[in-house]
Amino acid sequence: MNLKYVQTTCPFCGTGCSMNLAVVDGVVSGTQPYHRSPVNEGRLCIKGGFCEEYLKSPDRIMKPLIRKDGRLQEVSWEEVISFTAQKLKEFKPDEVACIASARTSNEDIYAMVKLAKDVIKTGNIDNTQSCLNIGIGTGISKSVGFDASTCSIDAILSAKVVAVVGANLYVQNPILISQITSAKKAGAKVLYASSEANPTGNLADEVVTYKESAGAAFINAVAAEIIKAGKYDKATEKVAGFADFKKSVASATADAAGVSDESVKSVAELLTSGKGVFAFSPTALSEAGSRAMANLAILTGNADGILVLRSRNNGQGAVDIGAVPAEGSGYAAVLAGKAKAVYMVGDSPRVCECGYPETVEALKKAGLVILQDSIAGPFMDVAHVVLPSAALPEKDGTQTNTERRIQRVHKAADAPEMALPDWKITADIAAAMGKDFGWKSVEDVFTEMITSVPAYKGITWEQIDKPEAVLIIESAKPAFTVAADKEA
Amino acid sequence: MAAKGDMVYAWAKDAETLKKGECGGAITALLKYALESKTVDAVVAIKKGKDLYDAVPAVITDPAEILTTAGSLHCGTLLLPKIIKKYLNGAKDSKLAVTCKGCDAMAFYEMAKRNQINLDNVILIGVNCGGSVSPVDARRMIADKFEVDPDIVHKEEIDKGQFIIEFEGGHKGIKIEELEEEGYGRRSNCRRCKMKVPRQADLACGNWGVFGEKAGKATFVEICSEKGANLLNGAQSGGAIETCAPDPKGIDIRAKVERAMLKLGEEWRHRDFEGLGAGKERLKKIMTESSRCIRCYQCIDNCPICYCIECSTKKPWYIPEGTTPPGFMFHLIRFAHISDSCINCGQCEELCAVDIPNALYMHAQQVELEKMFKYVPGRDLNPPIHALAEERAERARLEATGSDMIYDNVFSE
Repeated sequence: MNLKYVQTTCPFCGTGCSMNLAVVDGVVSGTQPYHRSPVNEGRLCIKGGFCEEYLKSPDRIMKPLIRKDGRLQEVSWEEVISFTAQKLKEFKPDEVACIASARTSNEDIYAMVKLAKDVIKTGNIDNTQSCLNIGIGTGISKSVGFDASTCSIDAILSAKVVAVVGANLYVQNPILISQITSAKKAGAKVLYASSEANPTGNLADEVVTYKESAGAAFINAVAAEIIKAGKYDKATEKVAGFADFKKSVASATADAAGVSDESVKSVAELLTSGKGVFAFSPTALSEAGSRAMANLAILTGNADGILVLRSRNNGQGAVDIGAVPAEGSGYAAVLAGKAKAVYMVGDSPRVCECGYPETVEALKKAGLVILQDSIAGPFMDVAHVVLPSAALPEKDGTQTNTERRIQRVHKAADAPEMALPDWKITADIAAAMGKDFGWKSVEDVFTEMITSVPAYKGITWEQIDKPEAVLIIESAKPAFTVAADKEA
Repeated sequence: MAAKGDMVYAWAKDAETLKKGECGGAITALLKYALESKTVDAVVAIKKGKDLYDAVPAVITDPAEILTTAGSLHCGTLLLPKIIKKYLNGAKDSKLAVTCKGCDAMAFYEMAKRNQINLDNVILIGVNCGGSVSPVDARRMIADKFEVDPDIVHKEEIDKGQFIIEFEGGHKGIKIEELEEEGYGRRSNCRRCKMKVPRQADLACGNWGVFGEKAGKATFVEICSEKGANLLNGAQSGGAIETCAPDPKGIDIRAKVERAMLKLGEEWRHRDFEGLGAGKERLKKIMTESSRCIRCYQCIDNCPICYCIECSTKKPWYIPEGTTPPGFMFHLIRFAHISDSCINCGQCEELCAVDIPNALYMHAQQVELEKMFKYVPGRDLNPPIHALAEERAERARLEATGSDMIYDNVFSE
């Protein structure tokens, strides 16, 4: 009769909710609320609220596998590591793509980035968010100086205006509905805009459904209207790029976004009625749409009110740690067939399979596919090597949520059979390729990682273990950026 | 020898328990004694987690660890019986001593009626409870209203109608009424609660009514059952606790505090239910608020009354699979299944992902049903309005006979 609560952060979306895993005699038997979380205060959605279920999935990968005679066959860790290391060496550096997973911990992602940069020396680095949308690019980093939120989730509570664009909150970041509801009860006006009508619209005072891929067009039309009506924050005229931006949106029309002029007018009215939080999904809007959102936030005096909604639990960590591609590399290189060898960490727990079919097709053409994952999925069919990894609640580490709060992940139970934490597997491959990372524990990885990420400098393992953990809100360094050729 | 119906002041004999426990550490000493004497296999209580805002359930088998549960935590909003059902097999194969607030005690009773918990195996140590505050709300209240950094607070308590905090360099109290007028304070279900002294427990303990020289140094204990009397007498003869007769003035004070709390509860009921309106207006309000449901199932998963193995809300002929929001049928099913026995524990509201005032709606219906059918949930072991069938057996019978007459076997002569 041994019941233990292990507090950890959620392995599903980027909101960064915490829960208690109820561990009975060493087995995760249920998920219980962790009321003390500053993010979700005990609330959980159906995914996070029943975490124990995916850990028990019959599709868990338990042992290392190598494809021999067309069939994946069980091998030892020694064999698979030395085989993988040897195979990776057979390719030229830039023929190798390293895809980290936005579902794994910061330490896991850091290990992958380090392997790519220091050992394989490839520029093909990316993370699994690109599988959802290859055009995320550098997000809003050119607009505010970094690719992250400029406000906390709590900022919603005191906002007079809340704009949600692109994300369906009934699918991703659902707990934010509670903050938005509170804001509404306190008198805030809510805009919801997306390319597909969905229940999130029921929360809003103004709902806009724009044409598919016309997110940027819609946002620019609203910006044009605000400028025309002279309702923008006049201080922004001094912000870099204002003149170019003004010129570039002058021709933006409601029609191009497939919405009515009236609708654009009333959105412009709503967005300029008070201090706002502008929340959007970069995977839905792509780079051009993300920048358009940042421009709109800057224009309305809300540069420090941008919330970048990440659909993956550690989407922000993946960006912060640098698992992001230069244009045309990473995932794009995989899809274009330019990457001959692909070392990718999976997207488990899977909640959607967006982008999977194209990826599977592309991987079929690669000479070497190394898949590291905790649950078997469609990529197994094309993998030459399979490395079994521990699921998030089976390891210690940190992850970074949508508002850039770095929180602890606590190990609640042992990973099944031979599965290991991702950072450990990656470090073993590095060692077999001749470079010893020298890590004895995940804390060692963390200590090294924070020195390589400017925003994380100086934070400590102890700080992160506190309920409030470490919230990094950087002040925006605003600049208007004219969206590139591609429309979102 | 104390017997059922008696009242005593009790305190721990052991110096360390006396020091670390609250009000003389009687409960801590009783729990420790229950383990040491092998009266129970384990103790289930609340202990401090990361800080005093973080209440964590503790299952303890080693008497030396009991001290970790000493003291009260007003930010502890957990419902222990549901946890015991989920993870300790409903005390069906082990004997437990459990500390419980009014809502816990009521939930124990309703769950026992539904064969979810074996009360014969549980010793309930009730504590008087004026209400609890959700941890993050408490921190917001302390920062905004008390203007104190919540991280430097080392003690919080509810006493004489005030929420009091002690911190480095001082202490501060603000009237609960004032706090609650401004939207701070206790959870809304706690405000409406009228189970302040859980006398359906085996012992009803607490600080209310400890008067005179024992004030702050002893716990008021009402002995509510033979099981309770046995534990208390055993602990006394075993040298774990000491007792004395309560000050008569203390008994009056205890009754006065309880009456005041009940009055406050009644006022809040009036206010909350009035605010819901009546008839169509009430229905519309409930339908509008519940329409943002994301179907997270936390209300069901944490409800002490929900116990079905096959949940009707998961039947596609009621609610098509994967529909979010699930529509009003989802909420109607919950109302139909729970409202007669709702004990207003507040879990469905506090844990609702999208802040639907679920407990308010269910509680508002429960009080109406109570007027109609006279069924009072959580007070005693009288069965609920509908008769009870064992679900697995009942489902098997329906399957085998092709009948759709649920409870037919219960009602047929």
